[in-house]
Amino acid sequence: MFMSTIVSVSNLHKSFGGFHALKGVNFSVYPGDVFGFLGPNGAGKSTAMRCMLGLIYPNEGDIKIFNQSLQSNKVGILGKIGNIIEKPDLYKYLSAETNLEIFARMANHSISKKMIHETLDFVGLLERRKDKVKGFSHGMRQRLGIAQTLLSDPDLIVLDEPTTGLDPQGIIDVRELIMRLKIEKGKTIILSSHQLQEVEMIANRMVIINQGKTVVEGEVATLLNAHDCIVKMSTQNNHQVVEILRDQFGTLQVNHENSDTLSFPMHKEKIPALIQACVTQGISIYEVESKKQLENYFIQMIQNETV
Amino acid sequence: MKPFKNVYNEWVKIIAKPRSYLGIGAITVLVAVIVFALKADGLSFISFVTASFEQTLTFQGQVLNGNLVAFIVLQMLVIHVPLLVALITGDLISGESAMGTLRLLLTQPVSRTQILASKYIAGSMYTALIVIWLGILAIGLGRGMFGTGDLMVLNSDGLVIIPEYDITWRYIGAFAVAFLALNTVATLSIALSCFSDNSVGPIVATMSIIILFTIIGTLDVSVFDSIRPYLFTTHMASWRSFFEDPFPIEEIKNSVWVLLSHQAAFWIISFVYFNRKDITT
Repeated sequence: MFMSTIVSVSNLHKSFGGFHALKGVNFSVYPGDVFGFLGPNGAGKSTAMRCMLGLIYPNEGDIKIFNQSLQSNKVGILGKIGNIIEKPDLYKYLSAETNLEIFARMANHSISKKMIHETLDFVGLLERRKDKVKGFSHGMRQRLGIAQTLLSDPDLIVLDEPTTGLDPQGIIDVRELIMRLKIEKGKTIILSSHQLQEVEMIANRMVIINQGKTVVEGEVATLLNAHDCIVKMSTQNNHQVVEILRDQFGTLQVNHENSDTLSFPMHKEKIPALIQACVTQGISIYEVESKKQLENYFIQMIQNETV
Repeated sequence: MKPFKNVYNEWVKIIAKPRSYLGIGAITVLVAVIVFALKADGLSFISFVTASFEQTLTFQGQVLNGNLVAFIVLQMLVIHVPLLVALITGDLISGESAMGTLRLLLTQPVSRTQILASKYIAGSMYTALIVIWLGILAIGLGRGMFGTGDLMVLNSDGLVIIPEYDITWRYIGAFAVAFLALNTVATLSIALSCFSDNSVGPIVATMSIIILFTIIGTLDVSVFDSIRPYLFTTHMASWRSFFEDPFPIEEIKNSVWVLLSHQAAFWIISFVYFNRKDITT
C-alpha cells in the first residue's frame, strides 16, 4: 500500500567552500515514525537537519515536507515543525513563560496563555514559569526547549541530540517525554542522537549517514534482525562452552567479558540449540542474555562504508 | 498583526536586557553632570564666548538660560550617543547568534525578511527612546534649573540670537534630525550585526567606521573633497542647522537625503545577505 511521506529528502548536497558536507543524502519519514538519524561525528547529520529546517541552503537536492517543497513554502512548512537543534538555547534573561510567549506570538495560529501553561505543565515546569532561564539546570532548559517545540502543536518534531550534556536522570526524563509525544500525542519525530541504545529503544525507523552520504535506511527491527545478536552467557564451565561454540556452531569470535561471562555473536534461532548442547553435556547455565545491539550494527555499517 | 507581534517581541527582548539601561543611565548621569557644572560655573564658561562681543554688543537678560543649556548638552552628547546606540543595536542579530537563539528564531514560521525588519524597527524605537530621553533631560532639566530666555548660538558665520518664542519648533526639528543621524548609526550596526556571530564585533566595527569617516570628513585634504558631502558622518551634526538664521532648508534637506540614502543602502545589503546566510553556528 502506498504511504505518503511526511519528509522526503533526496540527493541532498551541500558544500562549505571546498568542504563537501553532504554528498547525496536520501531518506523518507512516514507519519507516526520515530525516526533515528544516526552517523558518526562530522557525518553531516546536523547539516542535513539544518537544511530540513531552512537554516542552511543546500547546493543541490530536494526536500519535501508535508508533500510541499521546502524552498517554495518555507514559512508554511515551518509552522508545522517543532525543533531543537543541538541544544535549546532560549533567552536566558527572560522567564520560561516569557520565552514561550515570544515563540507563541510567532506561530501561525493563536496560542493562549492557558495553552502555554498546559505545555509548561506537560514538561513539568509550570511551577517555575516565572523564573528566569539563566537559573535553570541543563535538564530544565532541555525540557523548556521541548515545551517550545510543542507549543504550536506541530505535526513533525525534529530533535538533534536532545540528551547531550544531560545527567542520567535528565536522559531518562527526555526519553520518557519523547515516548509520551509518540504515544499520547501521536507525533512524528526525527531524532538524532549519539545514544544508540536510546534510538534502539524508541525509534521504529532509522537512517545511518556517513561522510555526507546515506549508508542505510529502513525499519530498525528489520535491519537489526538481519544480523546476529550478541549473546552473553555465564556458566559453570565457560571453557567447555567455548569448545561447543567452536565445534558445533563454528563460532570462533568469543570474548571473555570477565571471569564468569562470555559474549559472542550468534543468530537468535540458534540459541535454544546452544542451551540444549550445554545441558546435554551437563554444564550448569547461570545466565543467558541475547541482545540485538544497534551499536554493533552501527559500527559495522560505518566500517563497511569507510572500507 | 504578525508583523506588529514580531516588533513587540523584539522590543520585549531589548527592554529585558540590562545593557539597554546603560545608555539611558549614562545619558542621565552625563546630562546631570553637565547641567550641574554649568550651574556651578556656567557664567565663566559663556563669558569665554561673550567676551569677544562685549565691545560691540550689550547683553541683557539671562544669557545662560535653559535653552542655551539644552543646546550645550545636545552639542556635547550627540557625539557620544552613537556608542550607546550601537551597544544595543549592534547586538540585535549577532547577540542572538552568539546565544544560539538565532537558529530557533529562524525556524519559526516567520520569514527572515520579517525578522530582520522587526529588529530594524525595534532598534529605531530604542534610538528614538534615547533621543527623547536626551531631549526631556536637556530641555526639562535646563529650563527647570536655569529658566527660559532667548537662545544665543555661536556659529561659524557669527552670533545668532533666536527669540524665545521661536525656539521650540527648532528643538523639535533638531531632535528629529539628530534621531535620523543616530538611526543611521543604528542601521549600520544592525547591518554589520548580520555578518557577525559575536556581539562585540559589530559594535567595534560601527565605531571604527564612524571614527574613520569623521577623520576623512575633517581632514582638510582635497582628495576627500568629492566624497566628504556623501559621508553620513558629515551630516551627523546637521541638527545644528536648525539654530541658524536664515534657516538653511536646502542644507537640511540634503542632510536628510544623505542620511536616508545610507539607511536604505544598509537595509538592502543586510536584507540580501541575511536572506542567503547559512546558519551554521
